[in-house]
Amino acid sequence: MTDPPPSESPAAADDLLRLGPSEVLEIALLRVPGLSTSHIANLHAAAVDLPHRVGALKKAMSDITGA
Amino acid sequence: MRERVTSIEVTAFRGVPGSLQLDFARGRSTMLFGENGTGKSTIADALEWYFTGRLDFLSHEGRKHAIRNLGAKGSLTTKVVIVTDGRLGGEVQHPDSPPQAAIEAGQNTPFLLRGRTLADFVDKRKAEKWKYLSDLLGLRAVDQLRLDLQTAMNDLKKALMATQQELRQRESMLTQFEVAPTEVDVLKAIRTRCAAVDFPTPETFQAAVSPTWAKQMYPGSESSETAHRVAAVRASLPALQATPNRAPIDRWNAALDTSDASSQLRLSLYSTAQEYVESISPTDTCPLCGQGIKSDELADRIRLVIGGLADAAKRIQSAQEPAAMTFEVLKQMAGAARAAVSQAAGLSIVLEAPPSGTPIEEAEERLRRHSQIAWPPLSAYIQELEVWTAGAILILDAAAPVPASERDRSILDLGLLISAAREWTRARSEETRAKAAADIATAVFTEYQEAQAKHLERILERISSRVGYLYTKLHPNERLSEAKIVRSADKGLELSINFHGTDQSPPHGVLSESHLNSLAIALFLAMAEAFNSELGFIVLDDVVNSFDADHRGQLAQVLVEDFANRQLLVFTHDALFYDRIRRYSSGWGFLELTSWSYAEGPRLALYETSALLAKAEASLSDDRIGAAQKGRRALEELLQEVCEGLGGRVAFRRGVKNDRREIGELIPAVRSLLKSGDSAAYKVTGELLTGIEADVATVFNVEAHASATSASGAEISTALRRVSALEGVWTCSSCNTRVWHSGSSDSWQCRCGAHGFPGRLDIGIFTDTL
Repeated sequence: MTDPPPSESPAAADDLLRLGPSEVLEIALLRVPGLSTSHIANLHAAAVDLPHRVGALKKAMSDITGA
Repeated sequence: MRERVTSIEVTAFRGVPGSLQLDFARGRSTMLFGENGTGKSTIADALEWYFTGRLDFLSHEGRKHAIRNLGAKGSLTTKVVIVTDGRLGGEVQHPDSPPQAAIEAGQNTPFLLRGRTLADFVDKRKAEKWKYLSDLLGLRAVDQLRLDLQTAMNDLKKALMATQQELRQRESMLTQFEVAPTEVDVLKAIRTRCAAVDFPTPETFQAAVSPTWAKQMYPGSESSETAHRVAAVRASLPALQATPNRAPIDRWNAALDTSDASSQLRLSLYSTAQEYVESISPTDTCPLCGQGIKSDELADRIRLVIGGLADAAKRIQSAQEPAAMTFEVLKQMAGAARAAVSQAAGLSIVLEAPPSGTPIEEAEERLRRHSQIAWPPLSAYIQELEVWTAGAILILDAAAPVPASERDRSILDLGLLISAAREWTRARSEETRAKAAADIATAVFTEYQEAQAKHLERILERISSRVGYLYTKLHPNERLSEAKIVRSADKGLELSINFHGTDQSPPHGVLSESHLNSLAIALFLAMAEAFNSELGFIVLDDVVNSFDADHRGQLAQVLVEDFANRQLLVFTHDALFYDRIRRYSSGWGFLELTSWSYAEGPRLALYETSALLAKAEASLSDDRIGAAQKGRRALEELLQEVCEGLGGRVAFRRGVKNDRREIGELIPAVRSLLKSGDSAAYKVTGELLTGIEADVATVFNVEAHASATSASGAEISTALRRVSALEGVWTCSSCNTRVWHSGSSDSWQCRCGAHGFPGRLDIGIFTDTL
């Protein structure tokens, strides 16, 4: 008879190390002053709008200022 | 959940002509021992193939046929079957691809380290190390968003420059009325002019520039409307006072004169190659030289070179952007001139065609191609535009209707001032909005860049911390410390180690080959631990070749103590390393490959009594017949093992090898061994063997009498316990090795020496059990 394998150590699972673009953007946007929740949501939506991302980002940023 | 491998079966694959199954019971760590050439790496290959879809060793041209075993029978399909404790298990057959879920879990995941590629990462160039980490972490996608944010920011900055240019133009129009561009001054000037012609004066600036108020106040006549339209055309002419200067162009040219220039040229070349390779259909040959290489691999190599040139590119880019802005301004001026010609034509006023914008286009192209840009053609263009604008002003002024009286002239002047103020207000508003958008874009880009840098910093710190710990544990009492990964320029990584108080990066100058290999192992283990989000196992294939005895022991200790929460599959031909792992570990499985032949492939020296008993117990509740079959097989394994281990005498039978002996022949042989070698044990186990013989005839006799269908779970369980107890007789309860672990037929003993044969069997636990 063999012992069951030990359970995973919670410290070993550090998924923070594998951040994708969306997660890094989230961290960044929270530090930009003056952005509301809806602004952040719009910028997120623009960031995943491939392949029109640059245009979508420009529009979202212009919309924030009402331009 | 990180999945463990519970068993693997390979068929007609690499070194296995038939079929070979290895059982890693319930996903425990397992050591596979075997001399060179006994087939260990075939198992590592099978795991690599299943979880990545390829064998790196065979990826070179002309080696792919080696996936299938050359001696395999034609009827056998080359395949690997993996069983895990989760969803990633399955089967891959050559030449098909493995299950997508397995590929996704295994690709870009460090789970396999081989001795032959041990120093690969350590020896990689900085940019290659960066690429490896980048692929591992998906940093390319993170960086692509940074580049897109940068492009958006630059575009919005260009748009801001355009609005600023227009604002300056509108401000210059106000100065023609000798009015400073402030709301107070403009309102004051309008009120003065209104009073001069007895018009009601506006109360506020907003009222003064409101179209409604102006219309009421200033109904206008046909001639004054024409005068306004002419004035509008005049106002739209290029604002020459905001003409760009040569400084950005000089800076660009100076940047190209630096050592970055050659890198920049290469970057330009590789960028063009990248565009081309990414635009064509996948191919197996280089489209430029015809050499055999897959297009995705070629694209990877190009990206690698481009990454290495990134620093130079960054410096060049910082000089490139202001030059690009200069051209934007010039293009806007040229566009204003063309628009003025068109608007004048609408008033039946003929303006000459403005100077050709060719010098701007040529300069832009040179900028795009990273070439030097000559200022004189641009300067000449600006002078021509100045001359053209002066001529256009003369023509427009001459074409404007002349007011009938001095009062009409004053009214016209008032109207033109209000019109200029309105345009200035609009331009100012647009500039404000554009500035806010550009500021937001800059803030988002800056914060993103910072978050990205911190993200990477955290990764490097985390890995470095673990690498440092593992390396120090592998090399205690040596004056080497702080092994870590450090950033090298923008897109490079390097290893560093503190050697007698000084950081050495790269560490090759101060580390021996075996120390470098230790560093590679520490790095691999740290990465595997940090980044294997789905795979709970780590494969180490012959990684201790360059280690001396002490360091093999240190590594064994590290593996057992620091990776208890992972499934380690350690393959080695090193007896000392194998022995150390056995000594330090508990709960590990041990398999041994004794030999390899062309016809049969690897031969496994393995008796599976414990594993079979575990399986029998596990299937008791829902498959009693299966449990009984496994119990019988476990007993047979045990009896064979005892006979082989202690030289039990069994009757000779022509044509039948010893390992085909059946239980009925083996039990008397074991009785005989006990009787002759340990009378005390024989006395105690007599009843046990009698019970087992009865089990063989009833509970375990599934095929002959199908009695197991009527045997209860409790009866089968009791029979299994009897087999387990018999196994205990031959196993030391202290060191968990068989009593014939070492010695000779005169005096066998277990590893720790507490028990042996003849005369010293471990029957304490046995008597407790029954």
